[in-house]
This record gives sequence, structure tokens and C-alpha cells, in this order.
Amino acid sequence: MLTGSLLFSVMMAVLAIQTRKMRNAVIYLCAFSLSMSLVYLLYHAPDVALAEAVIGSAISTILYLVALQKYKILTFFYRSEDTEVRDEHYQESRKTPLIKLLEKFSAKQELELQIIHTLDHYPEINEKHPNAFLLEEAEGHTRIYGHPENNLIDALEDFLIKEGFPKASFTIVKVEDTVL
Amino acid sequence: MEIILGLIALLSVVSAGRIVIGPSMWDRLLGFNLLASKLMMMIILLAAIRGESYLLDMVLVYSLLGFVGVIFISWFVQRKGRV
Amino acid sequence: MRETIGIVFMAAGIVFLFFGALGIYRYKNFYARSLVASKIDTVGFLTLLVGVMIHKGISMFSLKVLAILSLGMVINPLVSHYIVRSAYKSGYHVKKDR
Repeated sequence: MLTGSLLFSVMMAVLAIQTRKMRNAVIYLCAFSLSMSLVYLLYHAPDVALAEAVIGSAISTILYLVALQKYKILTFFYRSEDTEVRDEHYQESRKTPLIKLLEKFSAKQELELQIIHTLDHYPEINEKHPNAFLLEEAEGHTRIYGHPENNLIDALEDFLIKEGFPKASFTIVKVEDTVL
Repeated sequence: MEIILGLIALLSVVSAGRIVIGPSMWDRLLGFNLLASKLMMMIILLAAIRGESYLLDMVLVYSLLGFVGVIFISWFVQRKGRV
Repeated sequence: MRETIGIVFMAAGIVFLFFGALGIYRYKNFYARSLVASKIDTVGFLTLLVGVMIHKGISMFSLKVLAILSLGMVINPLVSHYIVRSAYKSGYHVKKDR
């Protein structure tokens, strides 16, 4: 059991270093400190284990997240035509070339990419989440909805054309508030 | 009783798989919640086997303070990265 | 006799926990998984700790386990509710079952 928890903590530490997304690394570090507190307990040091459990899971999480709020988030809602949102769908959509280009774009703009699968249409999303984009896939064609006052949408269009993404397969729709 | 402790250790590794493969952020939080509650059970069983009741104080403190981290992360994600 | 009943309760708790661990891989939808994680895991926690209390009899140890049990039964569903609320408010919507 001691060996198992040591191996588990090593695995979590490697994952926390390897991942690209900062907020996943915070969760991996939480699990790491949980496992380390069990290791201290098995080494007959319950006082150290108590301190590790409290500091590692409560206080250091809050400190990391307060530091991470400097890092803005770029939210893309992903909607494909009337399919149920399931795990396989999630894994497939992660491998498309457009998502990889978006990850490159967000790394260049120093933003963190967050993709949320949804079934809503653009007016509801724009009402609740301003500054978010919506990707809509239907029959091999991609529509990107965004608000025209958001200055990222022009940068995104330039970036997609410059990276050689085929221009026929996507359109960028700028939706005004008055149309809604 | 040692067999039950070993089985819970195995199940905690299984539920930690959700942290690694979970597609979205909230799946990872769910797996972390499962892992934390299984760790509490493991320490209680360890205290019952060894007959050391001071290990239970650690579980008490952990159950009072351990949920702060998960609630703070989900609050952070809901407010789109502002604390 | 009392210790045997305690072991039986703990084994029942292990069965609940096993189904909970199965459920988070069985379902392909986040909201179905969160149901499994909140309900079945809480029931497993309850059964296992009641088993430990029966195994130890009436003592100071059982009183501490009872305090942990009453805290865990409040906090575990609360945290699950907060995670699912965060997912729903962020716009993660799935198709409803008919």
C-alpha cells in the first residue's frame, strides 16, 4: 500500500508537469497532496499528514487560483448538429485540425482555451456569456459566431487564413445586437 | 478487515482514472471528490485495524476543510477565471 | 458475533462502492456520472462507517466515527451539487432523455 501510494503520487506529479492547461494542473496537484498525506500517515507521522492535507488541498489551491486569474480565458462553445454530447464525441472533436489551430491561436495570444459542448444557439449564449464564440459544425462546414465589437474575431480570421486553413470550409458570422 | 482495506485502495485507484481521462474540467473534479472520500474511508479502516483513535482526528479535520478546494475551483470556473 | 455483523456491513459497503466505481465508466454522459458519484458513493460511505461502528462496539472510537459520518453525509452531496451547478451555469448542456 505504501508502494502503491508512492507510485500514484509520482504519476500525479508527472501529469501536473506535463499538462498544457493550468487549471488541470491544479487538480493534479490536489490529488498529489492527498496521496502524499497518506504516505506520511503510513510512515507513522500523523501530525505532518494533518498539516499536508489541510495546506495542500485547501490553502495552496486558493493561492494557485488567485495567481491564475491573471491568465485570461478564451471560451469556445462547440455545437454540432443535434447529436448527444457523449464522451466519444468529445474525444473525436479534440482531434480535428480546427481545434488544434485554435489551441495554437490561444497560445499565441496568451489566453487559455476552454471548449464547452452545448446545445444552445447563439442568442442565448451571447446573452449569458459575452465575449464567447460559438463553433457550429454541419455537413463539413464550420460556422464561427462572434460579436463584432470583440477584437479577437478579426485576429482569429487573419490567423486561420495565414495558417492555410481552407477558406471554403469555414465562415465567420458577426452577429449584431440589433439583429437579435 | 485488511482485505477490505486493500479493496478500497484498489477502488480508489479505479476512481482516480476519471481524473486522468476525464474530458472536461468537471469530470476531473468529480473524480477528485470520489478519491477524497475513499481516502477518508481508508484512514478510518487503518485506525480501526491499528486501534489508534488519534488518526480519526485527522479525518475529522480533513472532512471539515477538504471540500473548500473543490468548491473554490468550481466557483472559479463558473465565474470564468475571476476570483 | 458483533464483529461478524460489522464485517458483513463493511462488505455491503464495498459492494456499493464497487457499483459506484463501475458507474463512472459505464455512463457516457457527465450528468449521469455525477448522479452515480453523489448518491452511490454516499451510501457506500454510510454503510462502511456503520460497519466500523458495529465492529468496535460502544466506545469513544465509535463516537468519533459517528461525528465523521454525520459530517460526511452533509458535505459529500453538497460538493457534488456545487460541481454540477458550476457545469450547468457555464453552459454545458446535453440532450434530455425521452
